Amino acid sequence: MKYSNAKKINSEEKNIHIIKKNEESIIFKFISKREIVLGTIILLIVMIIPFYNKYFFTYSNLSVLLLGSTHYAFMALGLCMLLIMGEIDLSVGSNMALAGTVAALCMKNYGINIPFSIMFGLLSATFIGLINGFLIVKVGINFLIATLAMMGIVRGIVIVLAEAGIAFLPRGFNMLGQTVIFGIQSPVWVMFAVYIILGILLWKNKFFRQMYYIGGNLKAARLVGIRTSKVRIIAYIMSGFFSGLAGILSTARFGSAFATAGTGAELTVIAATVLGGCSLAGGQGNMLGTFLGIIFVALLSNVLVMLNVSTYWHSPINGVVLIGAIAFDIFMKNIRKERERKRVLK
Amino acid sequence: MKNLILEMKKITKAFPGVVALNEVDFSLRAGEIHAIVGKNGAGKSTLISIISGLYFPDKGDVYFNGQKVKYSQLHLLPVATVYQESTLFPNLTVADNIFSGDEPVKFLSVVNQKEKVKETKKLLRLFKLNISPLAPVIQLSPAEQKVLEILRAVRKKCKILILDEPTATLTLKETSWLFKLLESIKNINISIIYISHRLEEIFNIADKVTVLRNGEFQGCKYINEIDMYKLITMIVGKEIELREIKKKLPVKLKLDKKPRLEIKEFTHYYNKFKQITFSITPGEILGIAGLVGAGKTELAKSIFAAEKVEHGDILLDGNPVQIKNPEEAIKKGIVYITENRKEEGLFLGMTISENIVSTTLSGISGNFGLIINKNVNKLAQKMIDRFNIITHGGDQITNTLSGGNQQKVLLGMWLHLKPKVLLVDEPTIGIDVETKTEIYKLLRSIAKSGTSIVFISSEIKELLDNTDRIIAIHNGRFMGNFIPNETDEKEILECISGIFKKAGN
Repeated sequence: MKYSNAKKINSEEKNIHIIKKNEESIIFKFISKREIVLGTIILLIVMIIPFYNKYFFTYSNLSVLLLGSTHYAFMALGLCMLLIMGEIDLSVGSNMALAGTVAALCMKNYGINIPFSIMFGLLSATFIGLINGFLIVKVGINFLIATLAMMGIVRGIVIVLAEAGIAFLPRGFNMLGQTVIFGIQSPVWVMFAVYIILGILLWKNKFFRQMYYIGGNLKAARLVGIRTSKVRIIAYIMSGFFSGLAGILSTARFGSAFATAGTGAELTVIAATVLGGCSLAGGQGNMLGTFLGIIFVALLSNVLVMLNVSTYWHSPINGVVLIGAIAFDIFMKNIRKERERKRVLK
Repeated sequence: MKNLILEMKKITKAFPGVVALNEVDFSLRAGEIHAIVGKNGAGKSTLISIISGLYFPDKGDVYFNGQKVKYSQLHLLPVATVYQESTLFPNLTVADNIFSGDEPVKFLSVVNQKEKVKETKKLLRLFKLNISPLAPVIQLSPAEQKVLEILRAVRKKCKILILDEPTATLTLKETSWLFKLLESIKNINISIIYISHRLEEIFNIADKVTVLRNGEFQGCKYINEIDMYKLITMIVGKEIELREIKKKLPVKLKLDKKPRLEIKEFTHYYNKFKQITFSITPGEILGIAGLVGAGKTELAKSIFAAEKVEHGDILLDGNPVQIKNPEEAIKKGIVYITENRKEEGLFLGMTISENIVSTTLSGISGNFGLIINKNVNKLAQKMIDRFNIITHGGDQITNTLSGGNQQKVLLGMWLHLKPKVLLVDEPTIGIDVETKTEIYKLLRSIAKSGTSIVFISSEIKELLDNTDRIIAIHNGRFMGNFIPNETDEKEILECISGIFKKAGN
């Protein structure tokens, strides 16, 4: 009996599959998936550009491209989770500078050993995330206002602490960002590892899945027993932690902490995550898309340099690409609605 | 006979997933009140959206005063719509609201406040209303607010006034007051299109009635050539179901069993209800009757710990329990199904499967808290089959389902938890008669399996037919305890309107 039931469900599933295939062609389905479109465009760029500039497809260029986008990638982790819940953290750039500065200060001025200095750096950024979460979830300040204010506060603290910057950090610390393993720098490896782990968690794990429900309908999420306050605060804490990680690794990479590190990074990262399929309205997005978004943004500016486009043109082109991508998405959704409507009319 | 003001012929309109209207005819004479009735998803709202120019029809012709109207000109017709939800600006005054959008102006576009107030006074006097033009709307009663919306429409010199469920939140007294107003609007030669689920009202107020079913035109009758039975038959289409609703289910009291849930001296944090005490045994369906805003929803939500309580105790199976949040309530087997499925019930942008498993994310995940797809699909398919949800699969987005099917998804979300205590809040709101019957049967079968059900509704009739015991609440206070076959609609109605309080308990 049980067996036959299972069989029935199976055959039904097959039927559903067949109906779907008739509904939409494979190509149509492909171009309405952001990750596939973005991945294809990245592949095309990588294949075409070498014909115009032979230096593009070199080891040094590509590794610099990857390495240069690692700190954006770390900040995007937290922002992706927050955007899924329909929220934003504008303080990621300042947080990144804070973690680097605190770690550098601990080592240079207070003589604390390297592991503890790194821990203090990460803790400071994580603590800022906790304050953000508390202000937004418990006190009830709008997330844009709270994190905008925090962005200014933290940046100010960093400038007070570091002034222009703190250089000549211990070699052991710098190794963290400069070690080359199998021809690739360590921050890139860390980035891959974190993305794979968090990607799987966000895709499958019950705790992280709650974020999609919160982004889909906050009130309903509360009623189905999701501890919305807890999840939201944890997301802000993680956003703080990963910005801190970005700060530590990039400080180690440069061998010095700058007060201006990560200035304006929040906007670049938001643009990249939205390009990767997150929506400001919440409920959408994943780690693969976010990663591709980050790579795409880095690739775009790299390619513009390779093609000898003046740097003045970089940010207008970035803006046009962002608007184009979102408009394309809306366009595809409308086509899909119209097709469905016509199908029913027949 | 007065001339035709609006005529629509063979109107067809389709949306993704459904043909909302299929060759529907509709005609309206000057100064008549014309009711459109039908179950949910019958196409009423689509039809009025086309008349008010919100949607273009796909096929069909529209004539206004005998002249053919292009689809793109539809929104220019003198049509005003008063929707079920309020579209007033609550913080502005009565005069501001009446003139919203086209305020009288003086030199340099400065608003002429005097003129505005004077005109508003005139309008209010015309309809014999005792409202101050400078009162903020937030201070008016729901009925006065509804009337204000109607006046705003009338002032804009409309010829056709569309009222969508105007009496949904009104009491009986307020309804008859509203009807007097409608009569006087009719006398100044404005046609009214009246949409309501309350069929008795239609016999009181309408001149003519058009019936729709599943987007098909079923007929158009003068109100005096039809009776309630015929009308319901036209709406439902089948006569069998109708009898089934009317037949009372046998009622047995289960006093011998120990109570499953006891609520003692419950008082809401913001005093929405005070000193409510009741208990419920396994297998019993307890009805809670009360008007909109009586505190029923707050009571249920407080038991579920989604709202705060000032003081009061909950006893589950005889043991006092502390419930801090909905998560704990669910773990203890207490479940609340909201009346507001769109705003706080469903995740509309997500798939049916994702909705169904949302209440039990831990129950479907394995190692490292990773969710197992096989479990998700199995559970979703089980609920789709059990509740007869019409869909092409668990991965359909919930937004694209009809209202009745969305309600079934909402029930599916909660009922696979096999709760000990089920609090359902208006489970049949805005749902067609067929699905209603299905839901009544479902609740009874769940109760038979030992669940205690608290059934909250503002429709007394459905409580009388489907519960074992009813408590009445007025303005947050307990008003009486009733056994359905020892009482009638009138007695309970008097109780929940606060006219009298039943003695005892």
